[in-house]
Amino acid sequence: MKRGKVDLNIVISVTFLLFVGMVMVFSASSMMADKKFGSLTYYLRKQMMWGILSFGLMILMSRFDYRRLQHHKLPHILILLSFTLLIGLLVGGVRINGARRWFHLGFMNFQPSELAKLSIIIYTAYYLSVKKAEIAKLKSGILPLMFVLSLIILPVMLQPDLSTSLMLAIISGLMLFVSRARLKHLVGMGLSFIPAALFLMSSRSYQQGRISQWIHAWGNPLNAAYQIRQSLIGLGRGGWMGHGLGQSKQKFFFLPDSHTDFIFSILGEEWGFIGVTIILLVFMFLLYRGLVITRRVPDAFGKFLALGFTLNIVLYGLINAGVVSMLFPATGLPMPFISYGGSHLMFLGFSVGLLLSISRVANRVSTNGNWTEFRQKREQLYQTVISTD
Amino acid sequence: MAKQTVLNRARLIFVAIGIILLWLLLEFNLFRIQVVDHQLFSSVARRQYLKKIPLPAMRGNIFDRYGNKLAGSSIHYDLAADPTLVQKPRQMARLCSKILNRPENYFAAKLSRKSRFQYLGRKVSEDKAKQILALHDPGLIHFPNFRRQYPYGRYAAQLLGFTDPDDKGLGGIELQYEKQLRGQAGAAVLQYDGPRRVFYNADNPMRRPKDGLDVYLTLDKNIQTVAEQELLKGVKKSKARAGMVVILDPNSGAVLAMANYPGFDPNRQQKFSAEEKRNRVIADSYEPGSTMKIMTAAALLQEQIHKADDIVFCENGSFKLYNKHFHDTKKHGWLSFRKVIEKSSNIGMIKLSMPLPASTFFRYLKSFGFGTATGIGLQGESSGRLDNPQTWSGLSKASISIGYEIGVTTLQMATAYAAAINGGYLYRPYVVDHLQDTQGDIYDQKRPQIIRQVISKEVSDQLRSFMRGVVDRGTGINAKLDEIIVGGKTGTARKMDMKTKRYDLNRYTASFIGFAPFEHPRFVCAVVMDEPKNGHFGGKAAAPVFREIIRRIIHLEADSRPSQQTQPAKQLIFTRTLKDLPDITGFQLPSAVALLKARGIRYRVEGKGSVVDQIVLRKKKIILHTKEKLSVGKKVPNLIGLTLREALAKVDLSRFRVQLDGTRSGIVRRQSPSPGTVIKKRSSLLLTCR
Repeated sequence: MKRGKVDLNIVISVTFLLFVGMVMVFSASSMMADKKFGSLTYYLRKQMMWGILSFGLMILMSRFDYRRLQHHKLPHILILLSFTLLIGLLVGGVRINGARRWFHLGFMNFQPSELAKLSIIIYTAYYLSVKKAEIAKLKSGILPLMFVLSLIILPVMLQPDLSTSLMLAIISGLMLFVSRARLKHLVGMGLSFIPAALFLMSSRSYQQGRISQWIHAWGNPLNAAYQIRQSLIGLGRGGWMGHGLGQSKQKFFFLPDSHTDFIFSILGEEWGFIGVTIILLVFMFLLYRGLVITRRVPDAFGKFLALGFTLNIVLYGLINAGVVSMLFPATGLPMPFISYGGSHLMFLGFSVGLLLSISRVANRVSTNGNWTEFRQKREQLYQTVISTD
Repeated sequence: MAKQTVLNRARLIFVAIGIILLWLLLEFNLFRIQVVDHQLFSSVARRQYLKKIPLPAMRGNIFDRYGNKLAGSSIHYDLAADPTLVQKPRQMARLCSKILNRPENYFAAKLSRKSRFQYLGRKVSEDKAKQILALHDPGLIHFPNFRRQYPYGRYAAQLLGFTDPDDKGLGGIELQYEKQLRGQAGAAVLQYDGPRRVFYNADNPMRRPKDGLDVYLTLDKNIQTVAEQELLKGVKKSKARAGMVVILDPNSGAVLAMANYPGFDPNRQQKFSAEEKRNRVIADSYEPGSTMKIMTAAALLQEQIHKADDIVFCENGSFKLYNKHFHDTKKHGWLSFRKVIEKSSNIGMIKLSMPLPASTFFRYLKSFGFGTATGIGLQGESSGRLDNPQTWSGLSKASISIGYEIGVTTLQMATAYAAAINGGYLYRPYVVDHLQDTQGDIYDQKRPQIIRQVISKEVSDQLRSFMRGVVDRGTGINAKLDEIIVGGKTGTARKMDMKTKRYDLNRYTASFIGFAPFEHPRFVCAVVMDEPKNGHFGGKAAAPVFREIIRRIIHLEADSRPSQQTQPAKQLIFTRTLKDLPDITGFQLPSAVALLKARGIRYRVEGKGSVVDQIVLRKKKIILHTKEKLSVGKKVPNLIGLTLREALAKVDLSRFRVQLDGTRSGIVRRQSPSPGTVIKKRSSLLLTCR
């Protein structure tokens, strides 16, 4: 098979984000690193290592033909592995901040939910591409998928990691939504989730408290919970242009998790509204590129896979920004590429690599073919789409 | 349906639009937070990063002319509790009641309240506070603070004044010089991070407190002591309602002592009434009676209307002018002018002053300072009462010549007497000599100020000899001392009954104003007794007080100052303490302590002073050596290791002449004199660079 070119736009955007991430992790973590490990660059060095590894993984995966993922029951294996690890986590995971989310592997803490995310996207893409129109059917189409998804999502929810499980549900749900699944099925499934979610929330008072506090804080942002309030103070202090690199004050132990989940607030403090807007625009650009690949790639597996990865990156970015700016009441989601963290960088490197691999195919289709031929083909496609809707 | 794609394109567009809307919502929200509410969040941020620690300035001290401290400040603690944190409220209440002298339920009630802050006691002395703090209860809160102290208690209390619990001057010098004494509080801005750890931020340099200026009075502590003691004795003996003593230096107008009875203790000023706090010497005017005859005599002599030996018939003790009868205490016949003064004959004086025109008499009285405030520079000074001659009745001149129909203050009388005996010069009395800052620089140095010459030297000498006669053979015989010649004049005035507007028959103001020694007077002393019951004559109630005061102070050397302690130049141990600890030498102890505490540095205080003199780091603990006052003079800063440019920036060029050795650039390797040497005047500083 002749290889097409990878989508350089994505490579550049992701590299940019990774670079911003390293700079911001250094800025946000140096004080804490100094206090905890006696070295200003402790987190920076780790982040650089993970960033480079992730970049390497990205290059590696971009040369890997994603279509081979469909074979040898690989999606099933991934799902099984994820399920096993997640169940294992409930038994033998490291407890951090009251939740079991990590395996301690000596050199790093491994987060199975990252693997689970990957598995779910690959599996859903695989399942949808195999079932094609049959997904419209309830028993043979959507229900088995739902069952598999809940095998993964429920253990994540029980860690407890409500935010991640919600993100998994949203991403897989959206993939399902753009498939040929019936709307009434989807709505039905979605509605059945609401009582479950309500039950979960009412059973955990801290979730309730967090949400009621979040609602309270809408009138006066200074009523918000400590971390969110500090996050807002950081953002608000930034103003239009921010205070410049390294000038954050919130990172002086005011804002917990300032180098991980709340790094976006430090970014807003140091680079202002302009800076955060640039970051968000890069994410929107990634969305655009992802959708272009989704449209161009000929095979269904590639389409769903590209869409899944794109949604995963963009939604994580937007929702993290929304959490940091108190638009959403959740926590515990990293900002893709920017937040400190090994698992999430490796996972991102892997998924962007696959996305690039898909883009090769997409580019070959669009560039190799005769331009007119391609136009005709596209017209034909459009008509088909219009006629079917 | 065969051509149907796997992806539902419409739904995909729907999802894309959804995500774009989410992005727009985010941008909107971020704009709201970052741009619209920027000010709000910025100020909230500032509030949580910065903490301002006030560094109280020490209120200036008040010294007498020899540097004896009459009013000063010492450290006390305001103790409070956070009842929600107090662990052993009962134990604490018991201890507090024992130490702070209040019932136990008082504290128990306070500690059971639902507030988060309750004062247990304000201005608790260090010893007492330490006993309570020894409980180590987490609910205890204490603030170091200054408290005004008056080591001599009641002495000169009305003159010195007093302060409120916040050390704000409320009376006397304390009020008058409030601005200068108070100084300027400084502040240190500390930066906080999340878990309330503090660090010093060079962007917010500390504003050092500027201590209040010290006020040096003209008062002499020893003379004041004598005046207070003798006044008290005299008042007790004569059972007077009140008494006043003022002692002036007739050759400058400087007030050497100013005493009042009843008095108060400024250390516990809340317990006393305004009546007791009033400085009667300057605030109360009274009808002086016969002491005024000296002024009348001065006018008569100066105008050459009478000579000392002119004689006058004293009508045997009763004289009718218009429809009013004037009386003498004794029946006198013919008396010379001198004898009229010595015997204090009212009739004689009235008849002698008849040729004196009213306006001339008025001019003399005015010249002696009556009817106007003396300008001593104290608040609440009364100007007395002296009516215009146009409004005088036919009797007025006669009345005034013997000290009625005129209101004077004790200070006015003393000032006028000083003019009468010192050669005729009316000095403006003053009580504040100068102000001085902690560096020893002097401000507002007062000089004796002659207002005018009232009478000639000859008349003045004549008056002195008159007054000597009063003591030697006249009404003032009780003021006579064996070993020293003094002069003076008695005064006994009936008091006006304010209701009936008639003179009371048994309420008197008895006074004696005199000077000593006769030849070269150093003291003018006015003693006034209000309503003495045990012998109402000035010669009986007041003159002995004068005598005792003079007897005790005349031998005080004019130069009784304690030997000035010169500060030995001390080598300071300069320690690079914790990296960013600012130089706190010269700080008031509470300020230094507050600073160290805020930063969680362990410290110990050595010495009993209130100013940090040196800081030494020993075993991770800062030792603060304290001293009462910062040594006058400047210490040589440590410049070794700095670049020349940095070094020059640190040197106070007004105090040092910098000389350079070696290259003109590079790093200072050696300096002479060495760091910490105390420099008293401008001197040279040799820097060796390489």
